[in-house]
Amino acid sequence: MKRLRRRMGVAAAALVVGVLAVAPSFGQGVQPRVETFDNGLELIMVERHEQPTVACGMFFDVGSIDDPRGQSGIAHLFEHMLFKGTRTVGTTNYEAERTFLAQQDELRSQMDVEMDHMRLRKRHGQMTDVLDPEQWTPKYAEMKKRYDGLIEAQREYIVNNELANLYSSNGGAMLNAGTAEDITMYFVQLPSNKLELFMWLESDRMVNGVMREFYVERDNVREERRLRTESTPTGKFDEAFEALFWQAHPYGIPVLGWASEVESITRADCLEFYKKFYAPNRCRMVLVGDFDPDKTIEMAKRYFGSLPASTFPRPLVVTEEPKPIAERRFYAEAETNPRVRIRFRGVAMGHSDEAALDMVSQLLSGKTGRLYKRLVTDEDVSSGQPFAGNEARKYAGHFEITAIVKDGSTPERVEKLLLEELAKLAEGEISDREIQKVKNQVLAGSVRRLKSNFGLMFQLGMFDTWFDWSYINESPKRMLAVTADDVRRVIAEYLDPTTRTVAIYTTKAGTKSDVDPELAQLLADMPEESHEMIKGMAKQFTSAEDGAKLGMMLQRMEQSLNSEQMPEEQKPMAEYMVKLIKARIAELEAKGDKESN
Amino acid sequence: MNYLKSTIVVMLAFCVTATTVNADAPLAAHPKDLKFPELNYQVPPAAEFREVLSNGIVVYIAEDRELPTFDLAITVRTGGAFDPPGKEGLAGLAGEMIRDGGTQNVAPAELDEQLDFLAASIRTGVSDTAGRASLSCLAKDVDESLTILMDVLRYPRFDEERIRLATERRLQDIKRRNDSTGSIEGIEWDFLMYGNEHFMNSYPSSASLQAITRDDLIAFHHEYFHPGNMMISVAGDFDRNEMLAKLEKTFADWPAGKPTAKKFDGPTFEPKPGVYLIDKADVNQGRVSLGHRSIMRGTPDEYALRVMNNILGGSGFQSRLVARVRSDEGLAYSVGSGFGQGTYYPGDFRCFFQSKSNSCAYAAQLVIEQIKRLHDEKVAQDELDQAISYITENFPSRFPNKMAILRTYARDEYTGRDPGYWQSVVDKVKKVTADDVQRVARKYLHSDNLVILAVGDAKAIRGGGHDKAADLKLDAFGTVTELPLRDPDTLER
Repeated sequence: MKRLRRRMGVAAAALVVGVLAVAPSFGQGVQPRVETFDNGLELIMVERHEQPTVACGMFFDVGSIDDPRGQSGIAHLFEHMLFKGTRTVGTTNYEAERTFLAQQDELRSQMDVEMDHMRLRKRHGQMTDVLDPEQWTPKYAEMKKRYDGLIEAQREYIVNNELANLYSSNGGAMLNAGTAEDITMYFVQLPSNKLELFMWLESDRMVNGVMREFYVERDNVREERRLRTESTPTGKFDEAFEALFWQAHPYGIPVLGWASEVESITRADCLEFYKKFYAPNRCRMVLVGDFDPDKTIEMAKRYFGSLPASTFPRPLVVTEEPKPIAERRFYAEAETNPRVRIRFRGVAMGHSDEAALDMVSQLLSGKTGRLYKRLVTDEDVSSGQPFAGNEARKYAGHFEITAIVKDGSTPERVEKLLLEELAKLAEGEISDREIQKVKNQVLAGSVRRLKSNFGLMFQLGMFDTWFDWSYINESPKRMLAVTADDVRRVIAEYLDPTTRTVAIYTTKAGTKSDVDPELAQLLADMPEESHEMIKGMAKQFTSAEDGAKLGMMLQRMEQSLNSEQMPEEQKPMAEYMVKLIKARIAELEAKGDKESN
Repeated sequence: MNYLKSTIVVMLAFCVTATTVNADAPLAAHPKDLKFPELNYQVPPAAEFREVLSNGIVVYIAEDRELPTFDLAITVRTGGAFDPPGKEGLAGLAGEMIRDGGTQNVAPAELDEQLDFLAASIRTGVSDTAGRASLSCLAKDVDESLTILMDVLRYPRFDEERIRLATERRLQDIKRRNDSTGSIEGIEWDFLMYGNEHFMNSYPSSASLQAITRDDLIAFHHEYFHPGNMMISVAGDFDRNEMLAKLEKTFADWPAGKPTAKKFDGPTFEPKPGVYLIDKADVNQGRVSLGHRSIMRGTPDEYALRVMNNILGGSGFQSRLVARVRSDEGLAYSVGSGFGQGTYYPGDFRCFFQSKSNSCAYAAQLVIEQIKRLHDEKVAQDELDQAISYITENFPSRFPNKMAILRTYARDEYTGRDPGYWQSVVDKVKKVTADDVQRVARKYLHSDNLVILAVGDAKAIRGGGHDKAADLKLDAFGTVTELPLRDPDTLER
């Protein structure tokens, strides 16, 4: 139920998994059994009998890049809705529910009209928040109340979260789903005797979903956005950076949607989206674990074979990100370690230069990579591990270098050194050992990643959605073929500093709560450059241990407070300081008494 | 021979598959009507994997020959809990530096280089209550990697430069403890539950980090990192007897040393029920926790408590808290509960959610209603059955591979749990009744003695104002104590 956050660390495809040159039991890499039904559904199966479970996943060709204009976030919201049941699951009486659903839709369309009025009022400055009950028009408030009543009445027939309950009470583990820009997936791990439950529930919700309790779930999705984006130290900024980086491509639109748009998506929008994007020919089912493939194919045919293929043309994103014509920069003050992110345009998954760009990222990253040696060991300007990642998505990709700025250094200096290392890689010597080290890691990584059925299921499903499942074997082969010349060539071609997009995060100075509210108020009247000094002084007073010294300071402070020289506007601050010193002296005396007792 | 026989039994159990398909049979009208084949999974007993080396090191070992890999993990009896006052952070730093600070024979950068070239990974670390070292490599590199591991474990260099870098990184990071409401909430909750004095709340500060010397790290290593404190788990592509002989040889000349006698103490602090609020302006969502201290593990009520917590909020979508707060009301993306049964000291009972500021009070009320409901009403049979099967049917998933089984048994031995625990847990959970659930809810959940903590926009959270409960404000649950943010470095205020 979450937005898929693709970690840069995964370096998307190439390093994830692959050829098992050293894995005898897998011979020529992963060789799944693949079966395609007449309606277009693809089955990708890998048998493994180590434990009595099956990792199961459904991967759809749909994501936030398919969100219609004005409905950003709908692919993700829709993914939530597929957990709310179907005509059979999640209800005791769908026919009875239908009456309520129709009434709700009717009332909602009236509410939407009123909501449009409120949006207009907001645009004209007559209200500030269309979601704030206190600001609602009486008409809207009245309709909302009636609407809640209809939901309450429908509840009699709703079986809460039945799909999830069926899975979990049958041993379904890790039940969840995820939406990214160009993929939506639903997955669960089941005991091997329960595979038929997966077939039943997934074939049902591929076509029979009822968007029940839609507006409640939309609220939950809004909470998810608050949780992940709006209430985290860097969430808002990371989102804004994506929008800056992608000028034309829909990859720049947040998967969780823009707040105002998510809040406006309707049930009708979702039903329309369902019709377009959910069908067997837009999906592959991946199973990894303990099952019999022949019998499983039979079973899948019984459940999915008769579902109709979608005739909606397979949409292709035609938008090409224009070549950047200028450097773009982004400065953000956030409550976080200072950090630099430098981003370049990369390539789509499967592109012939993807492996070479992956090699660049690996040569730079890690504890023995070039960035760590230069920025941490030699120059001591970065804390943690600087990192480079090549992320190749279905339609386009990017290459990013990032480092945390160590206290005492500056983002600009870190940025300069990061770019210098990139230039050195393009122009200087690259040793055979350096490249071989990365290749050794690619090989070992490709074996290790197979340890988990769940992980293998994910990789097969994602590769197949973005490119082809066989990429699991192909991408390491491509990595093993990369040469130093390839590295130099792709840096020159893609990682041109004049086309970079840069985000610089600096640490937000003491937030309100770090400072006594009274002091904060006084500071507002003082010149900005004096704030640090004053705060330091206050801290000195409140932590001083020498009572006698404090006494002298108090005397001096009181004297100057009473003298003519003290400008009137500075008096409140001086009075505040006097108060602080007195309080500290009292504190020290009390402490002294306690100790001498 | 015993070992072999039971392995075959286990393999047979593994091979039971789902499918007895009759292609012509009509599909079940409802998934509840589906009939599934039997699956009786039993995790093999600990004794099947347990060996003891001649210097006394306990080894949990299993062949796992599907992939050409090798994994070894060592549990070390130590913990940050033993950090001397004024040197908080010592164990954590020492744990990192044993690997990261190089060895007496190999400088740190060279060690990194060797391991990266082998594509092997060695890690060391120390948490509050355990130390750990691990090696992961390809099976073909076992000998070379084990040699490096022993060099790391026995002869760490504690390189001055690496200590400086690690210390400075920590000094920078501790300033960031108040950045996110999640971090503020987590830290404060533990203080409210366990007080200032308990070791889980003794965090490194800039002063304590700067007080730690290289000699402290050396002394720490000497005191704890020896075979007398170690237990090994090892799985991978090897022959069991050959690997045992190899480990025997590898560890033979390392004197065992005396096991640590230190114990992990419990708290002396008693939580004070009440409503606590921490202001973090400019976030639009509040994080709320409600609960109290719970108990140690090992009571006969353990199983009923697990079922009870699943019903309340411990089983995801199946639970009542998700049903009410999320599914019915749309108030939170994430909501749930945990009833901790502590290993060394009492755990905590904690319900949690995150909701937009003005609905925090309303959501808190819904949570409290659900706690009370467990006291007042007996759970219905089908809800009970679901909560039970959530545990019993999930049992095979607990052990996704051999290493997971070994790690479980090694941890059990480290913490002193009965080795037969996993063989009986499913049966015991199945025996839990609706009466049991109500009885333990009444005995262990105290809805009128809750600590309630909210972090976020204090003014908005306090004011409430959700459209379904316009008059409900946070002080409906008691006088609100507003706590200033702690100093991120010292965590004092």
